[in-house]
Amino acid sequence: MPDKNGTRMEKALLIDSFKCTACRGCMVACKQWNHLPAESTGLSGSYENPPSLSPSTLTRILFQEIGTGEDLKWIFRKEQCLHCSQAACLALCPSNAIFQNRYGFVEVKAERCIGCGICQKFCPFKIVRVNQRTHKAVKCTFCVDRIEQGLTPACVKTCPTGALRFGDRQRVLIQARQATADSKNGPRYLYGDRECGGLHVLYLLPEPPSTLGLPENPRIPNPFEAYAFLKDCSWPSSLRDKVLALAEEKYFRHRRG
Amino acid sequence: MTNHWIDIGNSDCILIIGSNAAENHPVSFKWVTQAREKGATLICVDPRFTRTAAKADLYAGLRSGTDIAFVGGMIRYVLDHDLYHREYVAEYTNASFLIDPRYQGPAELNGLFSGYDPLERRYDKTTWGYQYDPAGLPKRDKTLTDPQCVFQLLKKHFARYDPETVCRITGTSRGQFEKICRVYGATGKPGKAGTILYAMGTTQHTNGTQNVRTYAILQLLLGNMGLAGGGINALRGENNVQGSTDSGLLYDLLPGYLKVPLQSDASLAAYLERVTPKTKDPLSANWWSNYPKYMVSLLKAWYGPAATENNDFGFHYLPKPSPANYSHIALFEAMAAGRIKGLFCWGQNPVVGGPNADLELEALKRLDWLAVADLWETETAGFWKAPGVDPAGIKTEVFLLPAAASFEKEGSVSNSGRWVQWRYQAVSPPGQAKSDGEMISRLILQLKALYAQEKGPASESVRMLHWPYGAHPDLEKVAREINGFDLKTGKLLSGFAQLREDGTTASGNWIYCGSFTEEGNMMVRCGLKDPTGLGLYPQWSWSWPLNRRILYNRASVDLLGRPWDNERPVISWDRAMGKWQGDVPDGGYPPLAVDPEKSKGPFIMQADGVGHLFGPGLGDGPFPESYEPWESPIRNILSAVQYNPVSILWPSERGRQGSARRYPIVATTYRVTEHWQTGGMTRNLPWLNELMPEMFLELSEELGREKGISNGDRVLVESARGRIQALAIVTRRLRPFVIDGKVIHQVGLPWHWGYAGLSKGARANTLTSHMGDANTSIPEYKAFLCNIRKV
Repeated sequence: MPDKNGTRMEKALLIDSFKCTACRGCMVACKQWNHLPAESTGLSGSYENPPSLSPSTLTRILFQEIGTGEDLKWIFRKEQCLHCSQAACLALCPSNAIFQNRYGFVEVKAERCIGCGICQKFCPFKIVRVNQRTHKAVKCTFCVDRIEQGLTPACVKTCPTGALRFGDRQRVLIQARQATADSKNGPRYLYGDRECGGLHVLYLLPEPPSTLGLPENPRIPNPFEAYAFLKDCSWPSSLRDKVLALAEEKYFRHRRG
Repeated sequence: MTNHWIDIGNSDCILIIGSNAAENHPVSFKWVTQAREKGATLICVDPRFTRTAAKADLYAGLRSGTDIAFVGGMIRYVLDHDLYHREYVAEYTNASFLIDPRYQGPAELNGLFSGYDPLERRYDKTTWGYQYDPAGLPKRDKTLTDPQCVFQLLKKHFARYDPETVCRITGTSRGQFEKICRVYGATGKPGKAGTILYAMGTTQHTNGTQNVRTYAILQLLLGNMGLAGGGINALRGENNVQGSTDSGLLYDLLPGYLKVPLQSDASLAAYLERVTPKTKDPLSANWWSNYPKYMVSLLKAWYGPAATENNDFGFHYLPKPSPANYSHIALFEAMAAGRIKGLFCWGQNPVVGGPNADLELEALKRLDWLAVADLWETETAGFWKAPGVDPAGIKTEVFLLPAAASFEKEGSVSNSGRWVQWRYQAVSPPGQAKSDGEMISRLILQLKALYAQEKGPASESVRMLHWPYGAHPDLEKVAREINGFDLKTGKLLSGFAQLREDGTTASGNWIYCGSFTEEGNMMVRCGLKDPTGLGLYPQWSWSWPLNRRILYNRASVDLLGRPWDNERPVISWDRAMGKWQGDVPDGGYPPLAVDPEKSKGPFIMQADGVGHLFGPGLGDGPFPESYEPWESPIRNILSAVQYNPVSILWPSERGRQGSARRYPIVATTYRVTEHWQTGGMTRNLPWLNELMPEMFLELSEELGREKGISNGDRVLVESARGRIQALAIVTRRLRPFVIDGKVIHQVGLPWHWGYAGLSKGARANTLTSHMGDANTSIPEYKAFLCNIRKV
């Protein structure tokens, strides 16, 4: 995506699971920068916590135990919005509250969000959450406020091992592809190169992505399914007609056009 | 650390044992990761599959408390397969030294060394010495074949540590054990460097010091000491614990690792005679022969004008403890017995962090007064309102001094790599909180006023202290005193070679001499030049001693001063210039083959100038011998001696050892990334509590099935000292060990929780014992017995 001077601005984050030690500094840094409160949690047989993403937890480290005995692997993967090039949330948002900025990041414009939840329902990675108190969709902002000031995202800034690499998407992609060629520590799988038109958060993984719970062919659902979801929502009558009209316009006329 | 953090990135092979660096030193993995990127192999040896194990190329499990068997087996493997660095071993270690023919080891004496006194539980070390020629020089055989030479005795000692026996003791799979021996042993090749990273998993055992000794022996055999990417690297658990040890925080040491005088030291001369090592060997620098200079300069710093030649420079003002052991366990045993009446508890929380924590809580009840300096009201400060305690029944008067946090005060911090860095105050402390410096200054000034009218030696100890810095000390002035100055000119000294024993110099800590010179405060420096390209950054902060970044670096070169490793030369002898290039050399003497007259051995802190494969200095043997922990599920396989024969049996433990019949499960304690120490700071931070919300017990799936325990169940954990409840994490990351044909389970507990703070939970140290290491008395937190059941 060229900026006003015609230069490419597309940025990306590479999450290298090989280098991640699950110190979770990124999770705390995210809360600190974004002024997000701690959740009240308990342990449930794993170090993983909080149990899922939420309006106050925009990123998590997943702890996955794979294999047994001497073949045991403990894999750490940072979960967050992957900022798709072809984003289901953006494509389906009836109020056009979601847009892609000049860096390629997918942003939510809170003032336009009507809290319908279609983004949460159809995110292929199950990332977006609607805050049930404010009725606004919430997800990782890629710290765009920091990027604008020439800083890296808070999570990247705090990562001690270099497991999070931020930069121009093309360059990050080249580094990631080079890394997959290094087989010293076993195979490395790259995820996000092509999925959803190319993600702006890429993974280097020690196991096939599907083994770690990432969808093999993430897709944008068909508009009829999305429309049916909106129709079933319990809208205040004043809003219902407006939302459905917007959705019809966006899903069907736009497509035909 | 003999080396430093950045240097880990230079290594070819990183062995992490007794440390969970990824979790407890997260930033260390910046350098570990860097080394791995360059092709280094990471080995992790741990009872649990930790976050460090998750990153390792090779992982081996071992039963808690069997480190000597494991590393002893590695030593045997290196000897058997000729993987040792022969020239290094012959020239730079005491391998060639001949030992007293009366010396006998555990192979002959069924687990003991010669000279054992079973009643006193200690060794007479007379037979552990070298043989000397008529000129008083140690006899050597550089062919290493004499049956009485250290190398042959070492071989004989570790001959019993064959892979089969080792794995019977440790429970490690033999294939994995031998693979680790092979891979790490490959660093013995000149041009290769292996490093060992360790922490409290190594030291907190009744055999803790000897655990470290096994690393020293292994690293000397492989020629890894002094090299970039080599060394023995203790990862310190607090940001300034290195600084506090340097400054004499331990009960038996004064600043700069000078020994605390004993009651038997009737005069300064008698003390110096006892502690100053002597040698007739012209090849030994014997650096400690400078002891008198350092001690007198310390006395001059402490007592100022009151320290004169006529009064032994104030030597008599120093307290001379009796009994000599005032380690943590000893202090609490004395409090429990009512012998100690008052306690200053400075940034420490023994009710959570101390061993046998219930006993330590009981001990506090017997005090007249307790003063706690901390950021929050910790469990220790609030012991009188612990669950089940009736405050009405407690007479101890408790004072809580609110303390400034690290960013609220100025001063120096010494990291694990001995880099002393200056830290500025970022914000003012809240409310009445004060810096430690101010608290101590006000305390000593008040004490001086109170003792002003009193006579006698006890009052002199306080009255004569020289503290010209007032109640709000300027810390740069204090740092100047620690560095030291010439008392005649008032000029700051630039290194400890300038210290004198005639009372004309003062220095608060000889190893810090050079940290604050006439050129300014060296600790504030931020220079980014790296001339060697090895990450030494000689102009970044300041490193003791003398800004040397890698200790024993003169062992990194051959007898001509040429680096063993040409890719990563730490120092090299410049023939044309007639001096060393690179890091600050560990003693500037020329190489042996260049100038045999002026040359000295590379291990200058040893009286014989060489690294000690045979180490007669310790109380429990010149070679490490594998014994079981104080509490163990099995009989010692190697000998009839069950546990360390020199460990002190404190009254609270006599006859109260937990038996394997009642407590068949091995337990260990540890920390997690998300909390720190007793949680005084971290359990008051909601963001961290969210990540690690409660006290837990980790156990294997096999033990879970046996005991009917599932993930999330509440479990009762019981030892011979007490019982606690925790939430079960049943995981594949813990596995039962097959020890000598028997299935032995191991569980693990974090020790962060207590009854104060925002996140509350049971105290793991309710379960641990008052047994400690034979040399240092550090408690055996890392291996004890317990039993568990579902609540």
